[in-house]
Amino acid sequence: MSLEEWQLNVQVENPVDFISLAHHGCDFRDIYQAQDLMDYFGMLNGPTYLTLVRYFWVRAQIYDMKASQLEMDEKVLIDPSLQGKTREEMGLEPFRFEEIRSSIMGILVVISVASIAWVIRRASEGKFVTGFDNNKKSP
Amino acid sequence: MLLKIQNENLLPKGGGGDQPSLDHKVFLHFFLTKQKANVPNYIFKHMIKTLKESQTIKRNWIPYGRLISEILHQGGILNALKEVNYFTNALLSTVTGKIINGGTLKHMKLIRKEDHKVLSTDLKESTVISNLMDDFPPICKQDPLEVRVMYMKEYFEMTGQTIKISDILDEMYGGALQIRSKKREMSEAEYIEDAPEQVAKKAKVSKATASHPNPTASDVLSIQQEAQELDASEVLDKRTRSKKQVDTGQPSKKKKMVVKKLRQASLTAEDEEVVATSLVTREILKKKAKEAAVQKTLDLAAQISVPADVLLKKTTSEDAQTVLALTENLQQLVASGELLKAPEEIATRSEAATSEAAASRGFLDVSNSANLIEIESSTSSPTHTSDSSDLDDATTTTKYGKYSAPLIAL
Repeated sequence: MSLEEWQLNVQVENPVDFISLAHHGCDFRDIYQAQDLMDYFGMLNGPTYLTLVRYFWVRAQIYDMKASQLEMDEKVLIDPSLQGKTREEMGLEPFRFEEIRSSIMGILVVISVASIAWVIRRASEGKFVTGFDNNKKSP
Repeated sequence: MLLKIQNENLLPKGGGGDQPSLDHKVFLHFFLTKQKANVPNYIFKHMIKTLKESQTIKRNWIPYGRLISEILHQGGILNALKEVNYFTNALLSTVTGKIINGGTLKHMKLIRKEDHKVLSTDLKESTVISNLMDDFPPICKQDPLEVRVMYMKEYFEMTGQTIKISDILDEMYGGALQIRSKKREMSEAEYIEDAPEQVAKKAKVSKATASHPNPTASDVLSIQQEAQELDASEVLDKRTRSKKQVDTGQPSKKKKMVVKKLRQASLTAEDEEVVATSLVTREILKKKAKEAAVQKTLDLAAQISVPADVLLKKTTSEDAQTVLALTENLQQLVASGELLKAPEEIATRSEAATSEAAASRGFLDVSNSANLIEIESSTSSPTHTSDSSDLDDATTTTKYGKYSAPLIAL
């Protein structure tokens, strides 16, 4: 990672005052209540620890299928007899879902969909449509 | 407005909101049609995407600052930090976001300025930082002494526990947090060093520049030196960065030394000038002081001269009178024939008188002395007239000496 820690800008979320917006004719409460996001917006008005976030971000690694496969390949390189065996047999933890792994002062911090869902007090369910890379390809 | 909220909070992006991507459009569509979207998954995917971007194309924006902070807090990282006493807001550079409310609508020109109204229920920026510190006294060292003493007293009465002075904070814990602004960029020096030190350094630099009002020569030289020593790559790198970073970029040791030396040289030259000017001023002051002193003495002399003359005249006239009285006495004694009994006494008396007279006469004008002598001659006995006529030219001492000599002879 060639980015330095001090070059990073942290985008802090802006808390939303729905009452003030509603008073001025923009009532979005229904929309966000339908998504169960009111807890999330309530949480936004709090302290952000820029130092910790930067520290977290520069040490962050994406742990996905690719990374787990790489992990297995390394094991096989060290011990060729492990070829064709499962992760459990290799002594690795089973791959469950994608994670962002980082550490803060030696403490392992893992962010996954579940952890985000837990923090915003909302179940990880609903529609998820992705894969639209480019606007030009869209109809 | 919905898009703005989405761009700020749910799927944060670096640029403006006028050209949303298809992902943003789809996400917005779910919201408007009130279909339940998998928001955590969207957030996570977006996070991974930006992390990949920052790792590959050096995108220097970290999204979800507050969300990550909350995860760290919930995960117990802050509790761990609390245990090692690494918990000040300054150290963690704690900030809070700007609130989207009616004011934002006004700025976006969605409502008129007159229509905007500040409500009493408006959300205030968070002041909650006591995630880190759960038990702290609500007094600080900025409070007056009486307040602190009273609070400690009451606290002791209520709980039976004492508050140590070391537990009281210098500043009130809490208060309004700094609102995070997007525009402000952080430099390396700022990141490594604390902000107050930076300010002090800046102040020092400004002082140094103030103390060198004419540093042109040294500046030119240092620039030349820098130009010689700088690598092209470094220069290019610095030029491409913002101005701030160029300013805070630290020069090499050698450069520093050279600059220091030059500064010293300029200092010494200036010092010499200062010394020279001070010498000149001193000389002028001395001259002025001398002149003033002379003037004063002259004034004093002018004041003194008149009474002195008068005094001298008085003393001389008195002396003359006493001398005359003495002579009269002597004449009487001579006439009576008692002089022979004590010739020594008379001699001494006459000598003393003459010496006194001489001392006084030294200051007298010639005319005065002439008058006196005339008086003496007039008052003297007719037997000594021939002598007195001779005395006109002679000094007083010789006169009195001569005057006394015949007396002794007698």
